[in-house]
Amino acid sequence: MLQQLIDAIEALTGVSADTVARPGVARCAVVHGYAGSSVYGEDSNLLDVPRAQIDIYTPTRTDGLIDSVLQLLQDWHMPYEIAEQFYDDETVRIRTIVQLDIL
Amino acid sequence: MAEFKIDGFDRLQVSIADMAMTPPETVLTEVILPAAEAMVEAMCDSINSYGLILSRWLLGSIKILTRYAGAKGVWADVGPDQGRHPKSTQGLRKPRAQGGRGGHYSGTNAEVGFILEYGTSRIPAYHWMEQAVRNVTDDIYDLMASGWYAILERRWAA
Repeated sequence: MLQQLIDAIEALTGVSADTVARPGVARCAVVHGYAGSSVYGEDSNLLDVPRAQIDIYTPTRTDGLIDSVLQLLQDWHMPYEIAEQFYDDETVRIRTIVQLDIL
Repeated sequence: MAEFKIDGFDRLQVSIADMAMTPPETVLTEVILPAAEAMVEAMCDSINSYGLILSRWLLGSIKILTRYAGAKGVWADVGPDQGRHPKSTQGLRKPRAQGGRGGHYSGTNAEVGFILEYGTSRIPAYHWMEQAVRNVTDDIYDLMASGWYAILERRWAA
């Protein structure tokens, strides 16, 4: 599922999503998975659920890429939270951090 | 920074009226602070478990930052402090790019904690705080519930 997400975001942005933000690229999204949370499934069994963080780098706060990525998650019925959005001096872009469970 | 808020009511079999009669200072001392201390310990354990290179100073900066009991409610904030991290940049207040009021501190323990939580374009994200919160959530519920029961049992016995 994580790989599917990476592929879909690469299709949106046209640049690799499984590496760090690249200098000189105006807008991109970077995905990484990490040790997940635990949730109880409908059968009451405890499941280990991996999580993912998507870093969206855009020139402005209202860039269409942010909406496109969020719309993709909504279309896939993947609840997400926007953890932070701030100007990143290192990349000179707005960085939007989105986190979600990979269910 | 990651945020974790619970009210501790879920596992209690007591009325809101009973709890409302408790002085805020008592709630802070017997319910909130034990939970905050557990959170400090969990954050330190999480940093240690990742073996982070710069963790020694970050580790020492994890503490209960604020505690409040009064008309606005009762709470404690836990996290890395705003002190200068010796292996980071200068720890100076940066002005806003276009002038005016505000700005932000750079090179503080809190900033190092933030970077290690979410990563940067060059540094991987460790999610140490998220992991700490996940590990300690059940313990915090239990600590807060037992704190409330201790308060209420004293009242019922009186």
